[in-house]
Amino acid sequence: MNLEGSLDAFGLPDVVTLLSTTAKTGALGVRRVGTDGPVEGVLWFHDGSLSGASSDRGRASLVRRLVGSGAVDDAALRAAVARSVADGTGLARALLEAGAVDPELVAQAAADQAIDAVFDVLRWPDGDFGFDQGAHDADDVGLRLDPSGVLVEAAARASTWGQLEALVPGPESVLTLPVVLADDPLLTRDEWALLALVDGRRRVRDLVELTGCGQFAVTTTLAHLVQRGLVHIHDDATPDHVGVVERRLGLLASVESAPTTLPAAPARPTGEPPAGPGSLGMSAAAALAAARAAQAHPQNGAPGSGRVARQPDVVPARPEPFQPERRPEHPEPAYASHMAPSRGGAMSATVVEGATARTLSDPMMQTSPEGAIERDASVNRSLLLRLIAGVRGL
Amino acid sequence: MAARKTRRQGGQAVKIVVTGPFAAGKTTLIRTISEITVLSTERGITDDTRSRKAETTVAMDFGRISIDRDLVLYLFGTPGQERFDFMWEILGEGMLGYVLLVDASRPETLEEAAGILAAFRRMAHVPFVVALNTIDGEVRVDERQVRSFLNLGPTTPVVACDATSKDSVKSVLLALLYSVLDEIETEAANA
Repeated sequence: MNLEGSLDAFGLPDVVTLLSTTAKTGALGVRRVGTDGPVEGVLWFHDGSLSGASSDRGRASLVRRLVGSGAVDDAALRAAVARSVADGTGLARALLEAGAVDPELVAQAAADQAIDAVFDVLRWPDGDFGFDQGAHDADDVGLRLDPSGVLVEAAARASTWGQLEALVPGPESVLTLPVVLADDPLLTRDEWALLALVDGRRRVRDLVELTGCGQFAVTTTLAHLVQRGLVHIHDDATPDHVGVVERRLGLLASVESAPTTLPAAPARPTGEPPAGPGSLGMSAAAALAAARAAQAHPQNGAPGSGRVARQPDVVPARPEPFQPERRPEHPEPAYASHMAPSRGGAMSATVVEGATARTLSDPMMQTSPEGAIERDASVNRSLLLRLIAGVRGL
Repeated sequence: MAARKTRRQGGQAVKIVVTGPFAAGKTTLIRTISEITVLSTERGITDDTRSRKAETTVAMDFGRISIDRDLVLYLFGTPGQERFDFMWEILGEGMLGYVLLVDASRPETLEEAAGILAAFRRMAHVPFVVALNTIDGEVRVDERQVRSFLNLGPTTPVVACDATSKDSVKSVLLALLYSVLDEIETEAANA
């Protein structure tokens, strides 16, 4: 570990500025313990440029983004996984080098991923950081971003985040589609891609996972959809439209000669629990009874009760089988010995003056002009006068 | 080694490094003047220097002074122990100049200060000032002795300071800034 500290005392922008200013290459690891357990992110630097970032180091964030965009087929992904397992190459890089993905798409995805990650980490209320100098990103796809530009973009996002959160409260929000619209909908392709995944059970977090687009992009798109009434945030107090219709159809049972049959719902995806009573081919009376039972025991969440029970995770947490082996988080730094000055033991004041000749002959005193740090050429008289005035005014 | 202009969110940032022997008061000096909480990377000391100080800086100290809307002055303090010398070059890159802080009550640290100054002189061709920290009130090293031991030229400022006093720290920084200004004006005159 070359550099470490607390994000409370030393903000991410300052750390990033330092690493950028000093043209470092390595991995800036960030860690915090959140409500769901420890979270680790990483910002990769190459000669001071940001070459990649992830706010969740345990996931192959970049390749997830590519998969979510539909740009990677099964065969290419399998081959990339095989290579990654074999030699540790990052998945996105393996895909890129295999010619399986459009380089421009990868570059854009990598840039989006980096900005999203910095934005995520900027919102951490606390955490620690550590810089592993010299570490190289196995998934480096050639991205070289100016860190100050990324910080500006991330800060701009942070400034609008409050407005987005007012419309889409958080990653656990469940989204539903309204059955009745006031106007004919007009959608962009991106909005449609997201809308197609809204099913009344998935959370914002699930949509972020499925699209690989990052929380900010997904939340922004959802907020626009919510604002236009095309998507609703599920609220227990708001009656479910299908449940209301089912209940009202059930009221017709006493006047209809044949049992009222409710329309069949589509089969649920594999892995989901079987539908509860009252949803498929049930008589109206039985549906009504089920609805009443559900009202008496709302935790059952039966359709018709006007409530939606909390469904199991649509996108369950799963391990990353193809994550390349990670480098050690905090390897022992290789200390440079050439910088170490000579240091002696204690010396009294009376000896000080007599030691001058020795100091002059000390080889450490000899300057070496080549490769030495020079004053920044951009520092001019005007800048100095501003600095002097500023320090005087402190 | 190319110097780099630092830009921070659209503005410009400049850097001054504060170096000096172990326990000279570098962290204190930066904390005194910084507008932000200085990076807390101090750890308990486990080696034989513990008798002099319970904690020391293991990575660096970092302070910030906002000069105006578009200009920020960063202060970087070097780590206090020998095994962190590798940080010096990292911290020195792009610096405007540096402050060598010496504890005026401990002449025995002058040799360590001379070694650090030699390394910095070899590493960087930028102006510097020597600050004699008199925080404890005991002055056992005067300016003449420091100039002699460190082989300082007559134009190198040696400034007495109290690292706990903001005005005193300001005077140290101003001495360095004026040195840089003098160098720039001299270069301009000779051009």
